[in-house]
Amino acid sequence: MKHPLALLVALLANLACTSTRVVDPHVWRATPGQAAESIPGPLKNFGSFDSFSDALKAACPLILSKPNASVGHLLEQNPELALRVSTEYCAWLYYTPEHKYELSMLTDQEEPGDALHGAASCLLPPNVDDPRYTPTSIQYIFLLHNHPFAMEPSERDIHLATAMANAHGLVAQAGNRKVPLAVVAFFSSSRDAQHATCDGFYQYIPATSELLKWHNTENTWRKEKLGEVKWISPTRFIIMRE
Amino acid sequence: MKMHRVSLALAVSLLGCGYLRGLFPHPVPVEEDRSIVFPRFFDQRPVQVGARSEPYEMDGEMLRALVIASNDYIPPDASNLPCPSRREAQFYRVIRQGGIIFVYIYENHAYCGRPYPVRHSGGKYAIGQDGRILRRLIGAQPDHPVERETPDGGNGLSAEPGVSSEFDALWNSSRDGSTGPSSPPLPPRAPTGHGWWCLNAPTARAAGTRAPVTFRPRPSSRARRPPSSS
Repeated sequence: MKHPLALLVALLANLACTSTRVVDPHVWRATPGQAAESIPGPLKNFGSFDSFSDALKAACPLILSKPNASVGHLLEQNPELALRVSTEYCAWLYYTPEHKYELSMLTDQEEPGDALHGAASCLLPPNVDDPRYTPTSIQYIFLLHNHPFAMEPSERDIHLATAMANAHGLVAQAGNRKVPLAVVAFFSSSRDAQHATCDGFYQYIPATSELLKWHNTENTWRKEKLGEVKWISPTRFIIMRE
Repeated sequence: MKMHRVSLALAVSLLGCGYLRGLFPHPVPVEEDRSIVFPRFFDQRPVQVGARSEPYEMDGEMLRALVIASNDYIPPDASNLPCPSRREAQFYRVIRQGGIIFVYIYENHAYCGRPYPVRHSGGKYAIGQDGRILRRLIGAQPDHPVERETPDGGNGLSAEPGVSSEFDALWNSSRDGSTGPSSPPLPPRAPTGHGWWCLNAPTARAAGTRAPVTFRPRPSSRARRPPSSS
């Protein structure tokens, strides 16, 4: 071998550049450089539910258990690090022709341009690809994600819910009841880095303009109305607080 | 003539060296005064600068605060930025409280032809009267520690998670098999040029509050035909 050192350097460089990220079987990512139109569903081993409330209760701890889904424990020690590592996961909760609520796979794919200002956001494809059903037979109920800093719904959440309501409808027919499409943001107020508890979620419902905060304390759920979103132009809104 | 050339060359050099930019130097030292609480920028209807043909005026401190915040959020020497990250693709909302000017810079997603913003939040700045950045929050950073949920209750009524009683009263209360309220709360359709519309009619301004001011880039041919975001 003429250049054993060069070969070693190349090998080490290759190792350094190889991603060591463990693939989470719950997390799906689109092919790099492609904007996917659909996310696969359902999420295996999650279950199907008769009510969306039960599905929310199950999805909240699952999503918050993912790496860096909650960074409240880092905020006081190192806010810059908290911002850098915070990760958002998102998924669709949808209603099937078999009258069940199911969850799509999760994705942590970021929007292009996120890195510039170090803020996480999750790029959720607008549709679910569940091979058991035709695309038009699926009802889109909740756009689920986590807020690593436990913040209220953001401008993006409000606009995203509006865009998805325009795409899929403000109201879904789920069996014999109607359910409003909404964006849901789970949060944890835990300081334990290893165990992010499901402490509740924010919900914005375009059909009623409601901005809600749900508190979960020892499996008792309470609803607090924060206010209503009022649109002052097609692209701008204000929040009328309670 | 020679003197004129020298003057011209000097002026170009000064511009090239960012001399004029030096009037509002970048970067400005950032303090982290956690006692400063940012106001809620979306709780009041803003006054939109330039929306009418009447004159608007701002003082130098306000202009300086805007320039400092803008230069910090998007460095002047940044180039080849994707559309949502460009200076002209932002809204600039300001609220003055006492000796502090609060600036919030956030995406004008419609400028880039998008139905919703790329990022959750933009940059929030608290600028002192002397031009110092007293506090800065970027992205989804909260300005106060996350409050822990307490088992003793607090705000709210007990309910099944995700259920809106307001929605159910309108859409799921009829027992005669009807499919919803006679006058459903659907939004007026207001085309924006991108196929999206708002979900609610414009409402009256909240009374008794000082409205924030929004500085919005003037519509241009670029706004109507946004550049590629790639």
